[in-house]
Amino acid sequence: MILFKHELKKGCKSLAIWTLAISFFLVVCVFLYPEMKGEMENMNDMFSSMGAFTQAFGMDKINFGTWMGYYAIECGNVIGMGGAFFAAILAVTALAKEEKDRTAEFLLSHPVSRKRVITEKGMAVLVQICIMNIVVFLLSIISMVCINVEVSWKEIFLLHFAYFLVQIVLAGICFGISAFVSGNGIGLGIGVATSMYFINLVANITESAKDLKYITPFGFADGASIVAEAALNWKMVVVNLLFAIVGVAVAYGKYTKKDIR
Amino acid sequence: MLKINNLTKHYKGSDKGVNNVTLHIGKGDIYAFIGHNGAGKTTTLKCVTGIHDFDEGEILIDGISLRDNPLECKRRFAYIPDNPDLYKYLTGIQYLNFIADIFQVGANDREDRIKKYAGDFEILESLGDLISTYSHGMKQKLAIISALIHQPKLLILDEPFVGLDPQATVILKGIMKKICEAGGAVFFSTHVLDVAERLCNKVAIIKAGNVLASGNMADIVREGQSLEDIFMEAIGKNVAD
Repeated sequence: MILFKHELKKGCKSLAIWTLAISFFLVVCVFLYPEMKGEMENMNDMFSSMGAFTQAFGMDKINFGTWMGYYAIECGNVIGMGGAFFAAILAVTALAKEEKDRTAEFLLSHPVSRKRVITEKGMAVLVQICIMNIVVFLLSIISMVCINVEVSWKEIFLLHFAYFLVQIVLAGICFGISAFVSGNGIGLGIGVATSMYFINLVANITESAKDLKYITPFGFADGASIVAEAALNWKMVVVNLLFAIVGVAVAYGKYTKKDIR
Repeated sequence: MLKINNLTKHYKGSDKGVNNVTLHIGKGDIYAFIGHNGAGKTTTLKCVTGIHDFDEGEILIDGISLRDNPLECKRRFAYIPDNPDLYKYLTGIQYLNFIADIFQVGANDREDRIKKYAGDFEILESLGDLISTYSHGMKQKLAIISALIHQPKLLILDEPFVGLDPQATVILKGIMKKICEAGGAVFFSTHVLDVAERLCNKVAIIKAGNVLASGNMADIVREGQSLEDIFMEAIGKNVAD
């Protein structure tokens, strides 16, 4: 586990920054709710009658003026996008960064197999995503308790679990990409996460493109649907987790044969 | 110690690579590998060190096939690339401990060796500093120390003298000789032909991926000639040109 520990040490600063940033914006969103509550109730009619915009963010399914509606859309976007970028960047740089910094040459001439490098780096990515989610979840709960709102815990848990799964799926896909990249890769990671997010928006707006939800993890992590149905679409979860598994398998297949430059 | 038999390696989408390279580096050899830029020296070294896979041929380290048992081979050698790109976010001592952990070097041994080599190269005081603050020469010294930490039988170096100060160069040459006296071997690429001629007992010249000459230095460099003359002759250039 030498490489695993090394990866965690290497990533701790970035993990702290991302966790603090996401937590900060989430907590701010939560603490804004009591102030905005009155206005939100008035604005719900407006938000729920904005056509494509309303559909894109699922505001046709839930009441934006309620705590759960507000949390699913406002806070959900913070965790959803923030967590997605974090996971994508973390995974896409996992293998590529060694090559970009030319440290891979050193590492791979030592008695460590490439499979071990991939496994320990992959585990480090997974653990960092778990740590970030646990901290964000705990701070979110503390904030909710502080503002004393009525919380549907099942939906809150499902929302956070769904965002965690989004990050796992994106990390798996980006980990696979990482094996092909020799440069920075951060742009690619952000690109993948953003594309997936927009695919879900398109699927929300266009009836004929609804099945696109199956090819993006944001499809099953649609906050409005989760709150409205108090459930996850497990079919979508399984399909997307398969993408993640394929991504990791591709990483093994490619990196074990790759000529490091 | 190191047998390279008919090594062939070509990069996809490029005509660069090496063809049928055969070199035998025995115990006690200090073997220089010379050739101009892009001749195939680094490609050969990267294949030998397992950084690159190869298309054909066989590489044996201490009788063990690199293809069949890469980890066992890698425990027996140390490699220092031409550019010491180390983990910048670690301190020198953290980096050395990381490498010692990989090679499972015991606490006492690693401490003794780090003290000895860091003392010899005069970077003992700087080991607590971040590698990002090191000069090229200091990084090169740290890379050399990390390569020696598990006492390898075979030392493989790519342009080892680039960036080293004269004192460190002398120390490195001394270390190379000691490894060979202890029954190990050293295989390195270089452009510094004078050093190669004085330091090495064997030499190979490579051009466009093909080994043009290899063997004992004394057999290749005949009396009244220098390695430089032989090299220029081998690559088809007249010194007067």
